[in-house]
Amino acid sequence: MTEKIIDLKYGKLHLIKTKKFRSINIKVLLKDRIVKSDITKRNLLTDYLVASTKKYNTRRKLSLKIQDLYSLFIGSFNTRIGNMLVTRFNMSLLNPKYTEESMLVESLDLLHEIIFNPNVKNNKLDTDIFNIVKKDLESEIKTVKENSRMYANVRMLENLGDLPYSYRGFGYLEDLESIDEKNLYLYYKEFLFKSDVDIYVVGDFNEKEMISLVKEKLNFSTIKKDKKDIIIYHDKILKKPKEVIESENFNQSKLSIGCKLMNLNEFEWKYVINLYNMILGGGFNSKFMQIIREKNSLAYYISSSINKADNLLIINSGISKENYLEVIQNIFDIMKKMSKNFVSEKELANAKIEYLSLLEESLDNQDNVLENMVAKDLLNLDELDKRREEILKVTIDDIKCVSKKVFIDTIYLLKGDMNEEK
Amino acid sequence: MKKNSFENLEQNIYNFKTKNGLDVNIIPFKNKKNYYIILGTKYGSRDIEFLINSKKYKTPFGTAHFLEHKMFEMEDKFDPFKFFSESGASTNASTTFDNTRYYVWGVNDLERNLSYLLDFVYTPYFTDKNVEKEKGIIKEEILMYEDDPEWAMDDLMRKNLFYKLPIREKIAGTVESVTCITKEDLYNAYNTFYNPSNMFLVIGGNVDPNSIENLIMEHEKLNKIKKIENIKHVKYDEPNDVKEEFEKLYMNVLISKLRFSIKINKNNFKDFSDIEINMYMGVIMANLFGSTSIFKERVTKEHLTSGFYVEKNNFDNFLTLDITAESDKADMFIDELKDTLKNIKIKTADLERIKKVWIASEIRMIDNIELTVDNVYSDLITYNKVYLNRVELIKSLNIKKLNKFIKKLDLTNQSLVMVFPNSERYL
Repeated sequence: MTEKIIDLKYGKLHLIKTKKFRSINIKVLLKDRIVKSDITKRNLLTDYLVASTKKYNTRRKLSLKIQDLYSLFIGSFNTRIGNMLVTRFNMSLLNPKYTEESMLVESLDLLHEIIFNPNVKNNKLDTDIFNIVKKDLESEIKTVKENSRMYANVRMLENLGDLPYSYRGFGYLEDLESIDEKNLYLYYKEFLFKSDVDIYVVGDFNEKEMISLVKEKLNFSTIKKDKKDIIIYHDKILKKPKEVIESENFNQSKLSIGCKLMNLNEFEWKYVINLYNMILGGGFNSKFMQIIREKNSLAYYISSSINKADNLLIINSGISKENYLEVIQNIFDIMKKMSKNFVSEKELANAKIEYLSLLEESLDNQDNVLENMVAKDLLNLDELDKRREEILKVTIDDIKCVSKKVFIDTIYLLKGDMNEEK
Repeated sequence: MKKNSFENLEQNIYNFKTKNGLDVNIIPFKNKKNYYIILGTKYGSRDIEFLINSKKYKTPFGTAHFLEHKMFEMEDKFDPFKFFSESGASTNASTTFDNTRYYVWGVNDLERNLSYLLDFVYTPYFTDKNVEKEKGIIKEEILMYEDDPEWAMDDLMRKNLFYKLPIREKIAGTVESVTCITKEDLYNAYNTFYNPSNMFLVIGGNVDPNSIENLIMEHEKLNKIKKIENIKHVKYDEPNDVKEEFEKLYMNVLISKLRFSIKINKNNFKDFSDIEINMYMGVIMANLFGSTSIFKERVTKEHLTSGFYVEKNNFDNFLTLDITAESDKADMFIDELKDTLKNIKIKTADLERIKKVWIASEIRMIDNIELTVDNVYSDLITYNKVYLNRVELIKSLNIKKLNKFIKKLDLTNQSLVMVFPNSERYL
């Protein structure tokens, strides 16, 4: 499975040919620098675009069309990656050899229709559809509080600092209020023009046909721009971690801890930190799991994860509030010990195997194949073959060394105060 | 070992039974690196009463789930999670109303890990001490689910729909019932329901079926177990009507939520097989509430909901149709819903379109090892056989039979659960 890159007027087309899957997946990426006040607009816009089009001008008509194309999958979503806001239009169609020959062209026609022919009349978006999408987004923004685990992370990041990692992905109610059918349409035109475009295709297809179809159906008019600085770097560390405690009406308390990664060299950032995280809290058999959950029975779950673009390590745990201090003490102890003789050769070897397995596993999933490519291109990661080799070079000393570059910054506790007098 | 294939999908599947009755299914995928294995038993939270040598045993609610947790404990303190992670594989388990499953997935050392999966599931080790220790962890798990409004509605709805079926209770049981579980309960349940004759093994991955067969035929721990004939699940005499028609909860939500359920006795559909009942019910659900339904168009246009989904569930000889929605105009949403359920009429063109969508999803499914293994396993649990001709079955759905089904469909046994924001409690 190798990637072939073709230069288009407006960006790059990445083709990955494989007979492994019975579908063809197409991903259109539009990227630009994140602006806090754009997030809500962007969410509303991309939801609007996949809800109806000029030709299929109600949700139902669009859904009927989608089902006629053998239940084509088509969707849009936005994510923040470091300093960038990335919009994806994803499409997955059954390989026409299982359906009808015309399905490839017809499916791309629909993707074209969705991106380039929005449901617009007199320079404004359709009011009915707009209101539905707006209302949906409003409730999405409001309900972020209901998922206590997610909410704890959101609040932790807001306390960590004011860089883009602190922005709420769903958007903000204040911003939503001022958006209407007219100004969102203006934003659409600006968005199409100013974003960097990349298109990824994976599946079994005729290369020549695919290239000419993409050129014809996805003809963006943006101008190629230089690579922007995607990754967020930290320059300050706190002498003592910040502690924030808030209460909500839940049974179980949620702990979210943000740690900043600082001064990692390239090898550490690409490889060592992954293994460090796996041993600490990312793997099934991590130190956190062994000590905090299994040995001391202090948490229902506890895990850690790495966000490379943000240079952050985040720890999540569900606990009883009485155990809070003990859990924190355990976490501190474990993290401190990571720089001592605490990790065995066997644990490191296991972490490497786990890393490699996850890599191989991801290649059996069509969307993951594409997302791997996207991440590699965005963050400038190595090719898979190189990754398979480099990861094996990580030593215990590397782990000890990188552990001194992980700084606990913000400890956030969302305290469950159900059944308590206020 | 018998070789079969998923019809129209270019995919083989092999089946055999061990001497003690374990039903083994192997799906060899070329071109893939992953594997996914499920070893499961037809024993879930509903099975609180059972017979051993015609003596009746009763266990506390939540025993099946508790047992699942404890299976990971080994006498030599060896930890299955650790074992699998050594080769980069992972393991987990889950308990539902009617089954408990243990699964392993990874890319390396399939045979070693399969063999160990059988080792650990066929090695019970329960002590008073390790049973006591687990209670804290399970109590936390129960509390965690109580915070989730959708779980809470689900749990309450089953209590309100049914009078007698033990699925009325939560899968994990209650803090009180879990406190009462003893190691004897666990051994009694284990020795009955974890008999290979009550279990299924499904393996999907890039494997050689013959070498898997050899491994299983020669597996020491598995083959030492003697077959128990006729494990009986207790039957309950459950009335057709619902126990409670309405109940409300106050929780930490900002927008009200609702669950509307209909209880349907499957015995009404004498000329339909179980899978046909589920498929025709699915057609009706897709037509009335799916993405192309008039209902969906109307409730979104009038802002009666910010999102809803529809499911069906099989509980013994009952089927439930469950609609979950978030809505601040719940009364209007429910009126619209009840209206839609009156005079159901489905056109041939709509049925044909639904069939197209379903056939597409069968083709997609076979690209995904996990889904394929999961579906085969679910078929075994639900229907006691694997339907390899699903594409043909879908094609054979027809308007005449659909209309006959609709005629026999009794949607009168309804119940409603609503969740309101805490702030409205004292209004």
